[in-house]
Amino acid sequence: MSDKNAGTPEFARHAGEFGPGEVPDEYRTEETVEEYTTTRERIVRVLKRDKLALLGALVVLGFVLTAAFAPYVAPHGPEQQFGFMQEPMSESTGDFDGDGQQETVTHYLGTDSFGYDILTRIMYGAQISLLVAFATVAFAFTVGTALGTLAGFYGGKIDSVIMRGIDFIWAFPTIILGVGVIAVMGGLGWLNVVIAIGIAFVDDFARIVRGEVLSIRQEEYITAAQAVGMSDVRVMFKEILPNAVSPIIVQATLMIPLAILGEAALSFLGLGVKPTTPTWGLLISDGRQFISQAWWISVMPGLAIMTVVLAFNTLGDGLRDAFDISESEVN
Amino acid sequence: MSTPVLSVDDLRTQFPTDRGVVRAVDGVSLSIEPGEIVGLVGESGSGKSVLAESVLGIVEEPGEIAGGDIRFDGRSLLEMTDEERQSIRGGRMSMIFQDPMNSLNPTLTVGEQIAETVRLHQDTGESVTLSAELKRKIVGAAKNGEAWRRAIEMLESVQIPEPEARADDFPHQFSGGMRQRAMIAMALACEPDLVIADEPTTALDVTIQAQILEELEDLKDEFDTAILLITHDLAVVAETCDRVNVMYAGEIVERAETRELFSNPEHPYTQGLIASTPQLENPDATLEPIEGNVPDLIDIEYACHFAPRCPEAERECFERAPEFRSVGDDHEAACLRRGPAGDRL
Repeated sequence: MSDKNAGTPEFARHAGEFGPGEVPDEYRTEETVEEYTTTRERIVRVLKRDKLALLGALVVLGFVLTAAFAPYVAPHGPEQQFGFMQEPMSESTGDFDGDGQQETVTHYLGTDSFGYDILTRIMYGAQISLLVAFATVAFAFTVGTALGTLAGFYGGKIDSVIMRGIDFIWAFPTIILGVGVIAVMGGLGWLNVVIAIGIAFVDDFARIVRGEVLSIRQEEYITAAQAVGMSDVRVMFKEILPNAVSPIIVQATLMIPLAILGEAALSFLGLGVKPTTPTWGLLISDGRQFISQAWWISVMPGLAIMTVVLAFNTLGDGLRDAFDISESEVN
Repeated sequence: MSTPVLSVDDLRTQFPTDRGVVRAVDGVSLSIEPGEIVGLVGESGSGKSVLAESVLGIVEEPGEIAGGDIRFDGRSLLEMTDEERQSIRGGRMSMIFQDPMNSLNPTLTVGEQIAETVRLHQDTGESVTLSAELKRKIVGAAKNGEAWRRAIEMLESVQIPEPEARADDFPHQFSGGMRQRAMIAMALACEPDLVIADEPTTALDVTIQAQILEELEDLKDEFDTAILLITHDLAVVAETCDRVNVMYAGEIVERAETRELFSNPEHPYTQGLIASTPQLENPDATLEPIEGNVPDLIDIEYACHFAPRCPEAERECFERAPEFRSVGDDHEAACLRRGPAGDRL
């Protein structure tokens, strides 16, 4: 019995020390709520837990940095020539930096049929290959998301028209569609490649977004948003899209390697960028006729493609787990 | 009497389907005076929510308003352009939804959602274009504006503790009752003339229910808002409403002042509803269910929709549509067997 209750008459003993809503200090609990995790926090968390995804992220980051700083990290200039078709780890001796003295340099990945250092060409090639890949996915992302949102939101005739167009794109293999688009637009150049592969990827984004929009549109908060007088455009951008963002991010990560492969394939076929620009596809193509004498000319850029594609895929898988998206939802 | 805030006149809302036309709202008339709480009671599927959606103009496709008129403050809503209606929705007329769990956008903070409504409808000097919005988000200036202050004020007036901190929370960090309060704050943020509350307490447990209803009543007095309270819960009606409309299968069958309705229910459906509700004073009384189900609303062929379930139905009930008859002080029922002429049948 505490002091407070000491003089309490018998009949009032139920009026205890602690009234309604009061508890002794040691029983006081803080109200806890589940922490909200932002998209960034979720990504960080998955990278911490999933080592394979972390490795993928690091490799991707490595490639991006190498591409961005190619002029500083590449051992030689992209146009600097050495002996033809030197093997990997071979050395060249000569005055390469113009200081009047002889020095010896190592070609870690060998040289190609023009005497260019392959490691250097791959680093410079990463610039174009990655840029084209990112731009392609950005293009497909923008167009696909817009079309998918319109189709899912309005339904009916608009939906039918848009989705039949999307089916049309979907029915063509990526490369054949890309070749067709480039043939129609005429001319080489990285922008044409972006549009050609980008169009072929629009359908993947449009389908996913449409599916998401269809289910989100049924949510009561969409009706609520309309009931407070929001316009259709506003409902689409502010209410629906932020709720559909996770599968789109995952899909984008999984599309980047496909875009890299697409660009390489088009370049290999001679339909990509200008033939003298180093891109991975062109490097492989250049080494094709010498494959029996100098396997490394084609294989080294091939390995680069393989590594970066693998890295993007492991990263994408990790993100898919992070956002808790079922495997059937994205492809 | 002043002009009613809302008057619905012979409204017909229907949904064409493969099997025929569903007449969800079939010739409903009702009116709400300023600052009044009017109840709309009925079973599930009686067309209450469709009526609310019709008034707000957000009937889901392929539903359409096939006849009648809805006048808001004397002006016909059906003749307005989409832009005019959009500016009324959320501003002078707003709605509280049934399920607080799903009615708030999970990706926006509660404060932001209320502030947005304010920005859309009140001149706070904050642009609502998407680019301005993006800029606000990036600069983080959303919280400097008048709209954000108003949002916090509203959260405070619906008794959310620590409104400044809570405004930054996302909906999932709120409990069900708090979310419903936030919904109410959102609906009342622009001081509307009319709030349509569609089963605002159905998803909540009873203790929270009472708090929310009390809250609604206080806010009604504070902002002088008329409320159309849609519910299937007679207790909620008895507790809060000034007048009640009883709806059955797309039609209103009885309307009266609340006390009058509960003490002298006239329409057989209303009598059945009340008889099927437990009475505190008489705990031993057996509950009398209304036999049967709400009919399929596709092409009802008989005149009085309640006739097949009505214990007093005569042949004439199936053949002749009942009109409203006065059965008491400010009390009308649509039944052939009631009113002065009723006994002669």
